[in-house]
Amino acid sequence: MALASELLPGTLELLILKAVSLGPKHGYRILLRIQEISRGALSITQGALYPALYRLEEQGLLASEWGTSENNRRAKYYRITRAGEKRLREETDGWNRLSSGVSLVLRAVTEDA
Amino acid sequence: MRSPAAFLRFLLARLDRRRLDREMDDEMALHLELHAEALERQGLSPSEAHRRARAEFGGVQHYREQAREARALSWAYDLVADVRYGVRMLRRSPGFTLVAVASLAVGLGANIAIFGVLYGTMLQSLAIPRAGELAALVVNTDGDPSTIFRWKDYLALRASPNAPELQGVNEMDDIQVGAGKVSMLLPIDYVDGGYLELIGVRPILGRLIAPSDERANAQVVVISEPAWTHLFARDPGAIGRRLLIKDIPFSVIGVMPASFHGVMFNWRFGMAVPHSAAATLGIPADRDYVQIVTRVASASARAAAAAPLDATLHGCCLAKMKDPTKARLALVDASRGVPYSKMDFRDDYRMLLWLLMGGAFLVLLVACSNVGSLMLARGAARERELAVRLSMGASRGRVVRQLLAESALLAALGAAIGVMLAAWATGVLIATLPAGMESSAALVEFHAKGAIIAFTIAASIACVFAFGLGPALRATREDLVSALKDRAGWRSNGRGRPIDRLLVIGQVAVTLVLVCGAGLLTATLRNLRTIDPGYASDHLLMVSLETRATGFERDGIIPLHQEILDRVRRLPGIQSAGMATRIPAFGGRTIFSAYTVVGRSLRDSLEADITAITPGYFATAGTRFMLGRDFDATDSPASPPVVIVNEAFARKHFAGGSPIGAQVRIAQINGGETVTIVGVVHDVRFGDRRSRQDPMLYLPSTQSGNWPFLELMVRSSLSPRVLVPSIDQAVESYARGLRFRNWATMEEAYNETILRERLAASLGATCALLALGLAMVGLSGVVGFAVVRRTREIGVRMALGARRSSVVWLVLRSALVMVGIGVGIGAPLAVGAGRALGALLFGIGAMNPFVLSGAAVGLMFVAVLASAIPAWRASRVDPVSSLRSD
Repeated sequence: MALASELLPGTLELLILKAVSLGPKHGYRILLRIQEISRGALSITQGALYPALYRLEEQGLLASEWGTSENNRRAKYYRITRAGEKRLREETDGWNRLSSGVSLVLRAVTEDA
Repeated sequence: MRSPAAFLRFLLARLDRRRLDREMDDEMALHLELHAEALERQGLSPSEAHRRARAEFGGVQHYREQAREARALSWAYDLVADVRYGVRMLRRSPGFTLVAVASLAVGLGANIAIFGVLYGTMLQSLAIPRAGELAALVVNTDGDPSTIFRWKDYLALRASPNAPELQGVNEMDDIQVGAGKVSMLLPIDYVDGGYLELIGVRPILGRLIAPSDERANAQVVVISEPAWTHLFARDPGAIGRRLLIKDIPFSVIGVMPASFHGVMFNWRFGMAVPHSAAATLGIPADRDYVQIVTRVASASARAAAAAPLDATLHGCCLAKMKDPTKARLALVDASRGVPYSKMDFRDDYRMLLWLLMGGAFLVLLVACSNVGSLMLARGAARERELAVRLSMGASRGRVVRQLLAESALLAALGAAIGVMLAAWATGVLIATLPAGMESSAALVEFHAKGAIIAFTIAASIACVFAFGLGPALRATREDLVSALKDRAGWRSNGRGRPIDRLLVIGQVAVTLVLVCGAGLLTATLRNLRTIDPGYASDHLLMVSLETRATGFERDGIIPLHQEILDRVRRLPGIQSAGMATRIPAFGGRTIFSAYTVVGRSLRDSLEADITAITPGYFATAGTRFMLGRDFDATDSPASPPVVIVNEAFARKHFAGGSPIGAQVRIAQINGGETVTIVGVVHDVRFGDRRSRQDPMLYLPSTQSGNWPFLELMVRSSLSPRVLVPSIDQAVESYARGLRFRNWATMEEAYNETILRERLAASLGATCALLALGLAMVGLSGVVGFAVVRRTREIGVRMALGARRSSVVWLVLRSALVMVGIGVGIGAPLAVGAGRALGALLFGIGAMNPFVLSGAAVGLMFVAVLASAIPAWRASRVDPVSSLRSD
């Protein structure tokens, strides 16, 4: 298994928003989706998903309703709200700026060395 | 947007904690199941797949807890749980709970009681709509403000251009009214037509007085709800019924709610009639005064509105004034009642009440530090419990909240009992008020008003943070585990934890401030009581004989007074009797008049008080003559006019010589005729006896014109109050219908005069005693705690041959050191507090060494008492068992 990097604080919420923005999902599906997108590069302690989901729901970034899952089980489906979409855009921009900034710095260090 | 009903359902659904928890469990169970299925598909056995799914999920319990915390509303459920847990913990240690709740109840009770009085007298607005807009017209002349205007001046002001709508009211004393067989005395307001409309209080029955009533000279009356109850038994048919005011029929047109008390501060509303009825009811035109109110939006608008009125006033009405340029008309805030009336005691009491509020706050501070130190001790005792909770995964915030919930419970209990204590204390306070202060009593009466409830809640919350937060943070601090291991660490530091010692030192300092303040106020009261007032206060009874509003009004009291005095003097039990227009501490009136001393050219214009007295008045009062003679029967209207002067007068004009035989001309009496000085009496102190008497001229009652009233004073060999009926009868048999007002002994009259000083001393002493008691409970607790912690050390000492007395001293010394440091810190603060008392003090300075050292020694003494039990317990320590125990 590839070496999975630990999540920076707050990034789990960002990943959840991204995963849910692609379509409503229940908790386990969100986990699978994140692992799928990141090709297993990110390790998530599965349980930590739920406090993050509840936080996002309380902040009004996600909404939820009960539905039926793929094999006919009752499941809680999360979907992104308009506020959630806005936050996702802001966070994505912020993340991109940060990560490009960081990689620029890292690259500069490599060349000078 | 959700509809309110839908939102409510949403909210209720969220409050259904069990359902939410179940849903969360379902959600997580599904997750585990789906993950296990996925693992099974990868080839794991079902049991192995479930195990792995659980392991990869992490601690289910842990994340459940975290998810629950993530739900914003979870605080509500947590609160319920915390409170339940708190109740359990408090019930488990009833001693702690009792001391903590009692401390808080005392501290909060004192604050609530003082705040209630402060709010009722200083902060509360009139019970009228938009009270904040109400403003009163006031004329300031040389810093002497008056809100009283002549009616004709009011008419001129009302007509001035660009002025806001003015309305006048003359709130006058009680007057006799009757309806059918029922009668009572009611204060009466003479109001301009639009006044009640401007005030804006709706009648609970009928209508208000309207401008048309004023124009039509209508004999209509609006009565108060209590009057309606008393006179008409709350009969709705009272509207249109007849009410006799001084036997003149008026028609009742409306009833005002009981909450309406008029616009003057500390007034009571009885009834209102149109101003045009004043003449009908016999108010002479020269006593036809009004207070003028208006509504303006803001303080800046007040200034703008005053300018045209000031111009009008200077144009019309100040011609008679000596120096009209000094007079300035202004609009003042009347939202808390029109100020500056004789009923307005606010200026006298404002400082005292704020100081008492400060004193009560200090008491609360001591109470909080008591509870705080108890909480610290408890936190230490509960370290194991808290460590377990923290290591089980509860967040620190969660545990702090839990501990704060316990504090909140204590504060809530304390506040509930505190409110009861405050209601009781206010009742006691009102019971000590002298008769005739019913309206003031109504102001300070304890009600659960919004402001008082808000204050109670705010103070309680502040307490929770003051005594609860620090201990809670400390008990949950990071190095808890290491602290647990290092228990021996603080046992070796024998004097207890430094934080406890600091709290005790702070308590002692605060208590010293309060004890010193109370000492200064008590000394002031004693100084006032023991100063020689120039008369003998014992066995005196006074009453005011009043001809106004009686059949004798036209001729006044002078034609009657000699016969009344003769009859009173013949009564058994009376040693002597006299009359005067003014009696020290009791009341009455003097004339302030310009005078000249014949034969002296004096550059300054001189003015002195003039009191008319009868022969025998000085003998009755016990005021001694320095020179000359008293008035006697030969000083009649026909005989040469004479005057007795006081010491201050003699000193001023005849220093070293005798004034007897000298002549004085008094402008206001008998047309400036010269009068001859026949006697000099010692000075007497009027009022609260703080100041020496100014020059005073005493004239014989037969030579000083007419007076509507005289104050009768008798000296008896009996307890003076028993003479009331016989004097009443003797006067009634001669002058039927003459009014008696204010029967009082000199002690009663003087006590009433120094009411503020008495309240200051007794309330100050109460604060000091409460703080002292609380501080000593705190000290006793801390010393006791230290003894328990030092048991082993004490055992060692005793095993090595220390005597019991030296062990006792060991404990007492630690207490005395704390008190000593507290006194050292408190002493300069106490001097500062004494300075703040300033004008309240009399005959004693803020830095009185006796008060300060007395308070310090007293504190030391009480501290020794408070440490006695722990010290005794220390001396009973059994060396053998103490060394064995752990």
